[in-house]
Amino acid sequence: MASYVPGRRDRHNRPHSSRGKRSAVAMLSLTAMVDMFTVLAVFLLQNYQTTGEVIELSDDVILPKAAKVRELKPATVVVISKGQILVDKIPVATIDEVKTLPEISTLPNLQARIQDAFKVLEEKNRLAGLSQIKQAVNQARGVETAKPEDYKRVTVQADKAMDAGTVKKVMYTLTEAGDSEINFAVLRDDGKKKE
Amino acid sequence: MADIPLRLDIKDFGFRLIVGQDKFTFEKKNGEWDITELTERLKVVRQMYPEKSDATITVDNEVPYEKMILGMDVLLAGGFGSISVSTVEAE
Repeated sequence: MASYVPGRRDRHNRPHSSRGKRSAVAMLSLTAMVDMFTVLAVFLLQNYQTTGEVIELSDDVILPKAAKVRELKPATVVVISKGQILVDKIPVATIDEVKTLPEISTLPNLQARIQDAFKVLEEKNRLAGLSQIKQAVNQARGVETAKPEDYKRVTVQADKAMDAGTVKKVMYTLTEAGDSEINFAVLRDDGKKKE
Repeated sequence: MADIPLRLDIKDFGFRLIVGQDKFTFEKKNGEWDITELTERLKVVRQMYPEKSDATITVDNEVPYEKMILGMDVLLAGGFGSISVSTVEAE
């Protein structure tokens, strides 16, 4: 089947030639294209920034449900499963040994691990200059500016059946380790999204 | 107006809400923590102190963590968005 240059045609499907031949090549301005790709790149970066946070759930942790939830922000993750406490998937204590400790006590391994994680994140932020970029992006978007100590945020994923005493010992240790904010991971009541 | 303390104790027998000098106890109903009564009381507190946004939670050590989240959820729904969790038990 023959192919034709697009354009106006008469009733015999012949191109109108009275106005001269039209070019089928459309030119794109290079400047406009560069602008377009810049906008696209910024959009993708911002989109990733807001929705790219993925929280892995441990198989042996059943999160509690809540209705008033907020989106999680990037943070160091502490998991309190039925058998042990993990920081970024590395075990730091068993639940049995935590239960033997008095009410107000720190978990030394957890504290050391969290402080190490904070040091690594602080160094990473410093080298990448991310905090300044984040602040600039947030200011441009008109959202709340990131605080300098945001890297000290911790997300606690605890099993819903865990006793509050154990969770409080973990919270106390995190505070002693110098965290800036503790968030609790929960499932939304509809069971679709998590905070 | 002086800022009054607002504290929610999550106990084995149910909830206890402390607003300034007043104490309100909401015992478990059918084995479940009674969030309906607590929500109603928090609405009254909200009407009395519309500017108040902070609250403290204490939880008994034996209470499941799920109930701590439940208490926080009720406070958040009641408009008390700034919640502190005490690491010691209330007497």
